[in-house]
Amino acid sequence: MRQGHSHLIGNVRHTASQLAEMGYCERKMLLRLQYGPRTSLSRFVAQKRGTLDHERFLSEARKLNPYVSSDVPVHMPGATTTRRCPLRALLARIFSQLLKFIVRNR
Amino acid sequence: MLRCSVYESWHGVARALALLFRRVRSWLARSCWRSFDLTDCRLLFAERSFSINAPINLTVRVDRAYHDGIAIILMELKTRVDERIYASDVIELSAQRLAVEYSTGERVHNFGYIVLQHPMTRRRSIHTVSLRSQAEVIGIANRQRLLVGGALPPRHAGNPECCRRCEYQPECRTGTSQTSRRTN
Repeated sequence: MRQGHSHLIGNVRHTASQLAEMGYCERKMLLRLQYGPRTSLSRFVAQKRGTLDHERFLSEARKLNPYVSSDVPVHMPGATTTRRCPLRALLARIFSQLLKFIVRNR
Repeated sequence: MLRCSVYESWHGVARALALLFRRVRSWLARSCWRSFDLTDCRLLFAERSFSINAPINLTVRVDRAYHDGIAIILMELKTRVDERIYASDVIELSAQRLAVEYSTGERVHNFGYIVLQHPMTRRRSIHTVSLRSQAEVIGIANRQRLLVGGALPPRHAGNPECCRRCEYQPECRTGTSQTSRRTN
C-alpha cells in the first residue's frame, strides 16, 4: 500500500471523495490504494480546471456574502491552488517528469 | 411500405420530442441557476471543511451551504461536459450532510443541489438530488473499510463505460463479468 492511503488501514478516516469512489467502482478504489493515484493527461487538466472553477465559485460566494464562513482566507487569491493556469501546471508536470527521467538514466 | 414510412415518421416525431424535452429541461436548469442566488436563502459556508469523529471518522469539504430559514441546504459544484448526475455525486453530498449535521448541530435538508458547469462554455445548470440517509452513508463507510481489509470482494462499476475510461485497466484483469456488477 502507498503511504498516502495508510490512513485508511489503521485509524480509519474517510473523506467524502473516498466514499464517492464507492459509488463509481469499488475495484478502482482498491486498485488506487494498491498502486497509488494514476491520472491520465486529460484527467489531470480536468482536475486543475476544476480547482480553478472552485476558486471562482468561492469568489462569487464572497460577492454574495462577504462574511461567509470559509477555510480559505480573504484577500488570498490562489490560496486553494499552487498554480493558477492549467497549461502552466501541465508544462511544469511534464518538465518535472523529464527531469526525473534524466536523473534516473544518468 | 406505407406502414414502414408511417413508423419512420412517428419515430422522427418521437426523437424530435425527446430532443425538445432535453432542451427545455436544460433551459429550465440554467434559468433556475440564474435565479437561485436571488431567492431568500442565506449563504452560510463556502469552501469550508468539516470533520467529525462520530458516528464515523469523516472529513468533508462543502462547496456552498445555504440556509432557507428551516434547515441547511448543501450545494456541490461539478465541472463536466455532459449534464449527468452520478451516484458518486449523491454519496459525496450525503457524506457532507452527515458531517455538517453532526458538527454544526443544525438540521440539513434531505435534498441538495448539484451545479454542473461546462468546462468550455462555463454554462451552469442546477439539479436537485435527494440525499442518502445517515445509515446508508455509514454503511458505505463500513463497506469501504471491509473492502480495504479484504473481508469483502469488490464489485465492478455499474456502467461498462467507466471501465473503458479507467486508468487501471491493465491491473483489473479479472474481467468485467456481469455477475459481479452492481445492480443499483
